[in-house]
Amino acid sequence: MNLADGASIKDNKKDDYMNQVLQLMDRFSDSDMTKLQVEVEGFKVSLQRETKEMIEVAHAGQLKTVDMVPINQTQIVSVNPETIECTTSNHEKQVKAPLVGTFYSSNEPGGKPFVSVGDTVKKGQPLCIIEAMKVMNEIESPYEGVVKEIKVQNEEAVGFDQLLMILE
Amino acid sequence: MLRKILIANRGEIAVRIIRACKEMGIETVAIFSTADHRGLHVDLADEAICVGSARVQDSYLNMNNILSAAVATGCDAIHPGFGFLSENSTFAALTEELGLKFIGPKGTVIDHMGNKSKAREMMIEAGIPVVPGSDGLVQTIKQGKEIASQIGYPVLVKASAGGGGRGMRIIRNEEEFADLFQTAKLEAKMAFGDDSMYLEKFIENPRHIEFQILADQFGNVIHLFDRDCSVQRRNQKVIEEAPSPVLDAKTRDKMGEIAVRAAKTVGYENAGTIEFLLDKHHNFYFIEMNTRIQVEHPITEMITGIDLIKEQIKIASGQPLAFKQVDVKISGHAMECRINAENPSQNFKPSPGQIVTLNIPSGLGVRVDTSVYQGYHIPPFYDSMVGKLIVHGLDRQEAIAKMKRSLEELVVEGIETNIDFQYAIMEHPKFIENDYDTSFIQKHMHELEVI
Repeated sequence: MNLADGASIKDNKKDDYMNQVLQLMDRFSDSDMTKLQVEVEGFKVSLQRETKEMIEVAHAGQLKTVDMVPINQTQIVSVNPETIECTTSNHEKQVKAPLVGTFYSSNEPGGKPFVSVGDTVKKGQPLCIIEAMKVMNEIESPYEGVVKEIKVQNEEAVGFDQLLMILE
Repeated sequence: MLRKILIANRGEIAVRIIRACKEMGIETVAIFSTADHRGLHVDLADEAICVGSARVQDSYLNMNNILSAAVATGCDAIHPGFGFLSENSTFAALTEELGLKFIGPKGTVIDHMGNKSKAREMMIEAGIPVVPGSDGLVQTIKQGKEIASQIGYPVLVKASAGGGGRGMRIIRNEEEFADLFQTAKLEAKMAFGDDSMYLEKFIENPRHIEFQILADQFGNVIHLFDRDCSVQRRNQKVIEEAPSPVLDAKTRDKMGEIAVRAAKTVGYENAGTIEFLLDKHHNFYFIEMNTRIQVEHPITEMITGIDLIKEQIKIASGQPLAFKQVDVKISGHAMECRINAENPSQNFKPSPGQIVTLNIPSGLGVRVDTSVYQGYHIPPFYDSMVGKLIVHGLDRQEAIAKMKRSLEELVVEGIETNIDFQYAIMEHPKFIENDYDTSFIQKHMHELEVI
């Protein structure tokens, strides 16, 4: 870690900052963030992940991958005065609607939903149903993963390409 | 009254329909392709649903997705606008089958009128004057040549499933018959998926005059007078005006009566347009019926004070017409200039792109129907219309003055448009003197050329 040129930090504060920065690094590592810059009284830290945008987009089993890169490396970059910035990464697995219709979370009214947030799903596992013109279309998971977010509600009208769920 | 309508269209007509619905307290659902998510109609509607990717086949012509969207959002009706699926009888029938009201005539009527050759036959039977032509379809070139000799050259070969000026060729003599017939046939196959052709006598330099009709579900049919759409380029309308400056009261009444009779003959419902050609001797002939609301409907609204989209919705809701023929009167004179994203100096090449600066004219009797806004990107996948500039004055002279003034105020920067071209037409002596027909633009192209 480099301190900004010309900065002088009193020793008793230095430990505090070090602890805070170590905490920040931990939190950053565990998070989805790709970039974090913090300025505290002349003590500036910039954390950044080397990662390309990675979005997996699927239409009912048809997997199209755009730039997959492992995101385990954390790199501490230079120190610059910046206000706090935060960006979310795009390494999510998005499940989008391949057709237009009504979204059902289960295959019977009031029944148990196919999946809930936190469930682990296999590739090919049914996630939901989209009904179009009285035909019930099961939407299968294009990936293996854990359901992170369900973006639509039961019986909601969904359009082409609409984001249904995010897996990770 | 209908409760919730899906607008199966895009651009300015979608905005137009949404506006009428809002004023009537009707909920609206807009559809859009992935290329149209920034469309104004998407913002204005109560709900919007993506129906497919950019290509029209995937989205605006995608019956399954559009019908699914209507059902999924709980609509009780679909307004098809113009173009796209508005004259698709299958779509109209499917809509009804799903228990939704199609805002327009029945699928069978669309079928009959969409088949231009069949429509001609029905009109002949009803005693309505038609352009002399073939008795039904022309099956072979040999047959075509025989009929053409009988009718007398020049003749027009037309696609039975056609519209919008495509699948049509002028044939001036027997030598060029075979080639042009084939070309027209091929164009028809490509554009409409149907290469059935018929022949008509080509009326040289006619005026194109059409009558607006409204028909309710109870057999009441009235006309809302005429529109003169003779300023055309390659069979595409450029300027329309109402009423036609060449019709005397007697001819107007006669044509109006025939337009109503034509609509009644086919059992028409909702808004429609009967197209006529007027030759130099003021004989008029039926050429076709358009079973939809038309692009140029605003000029009829300006001279009659009647909101045609609202009337469409009321008719579809099962209401009888609120007025009789005697109640409809012409007031003043209206004109419309179609403003397109095209470059007149490069053969009207389409010019999609971003509108960097936009200034819309206004004032008494100035109306702009558009869906563009400053910063909007015109996508390259659809038609090039930017908007319609409509004016209404006490008489034709005032209408022209208002149009010129409004064209001067209208600023659309970032793309090429035909604004200057329209202005040149407004200043052209032949147009001002009302001495023009469908050959006007072609004849005077050099004088209309703008740098």
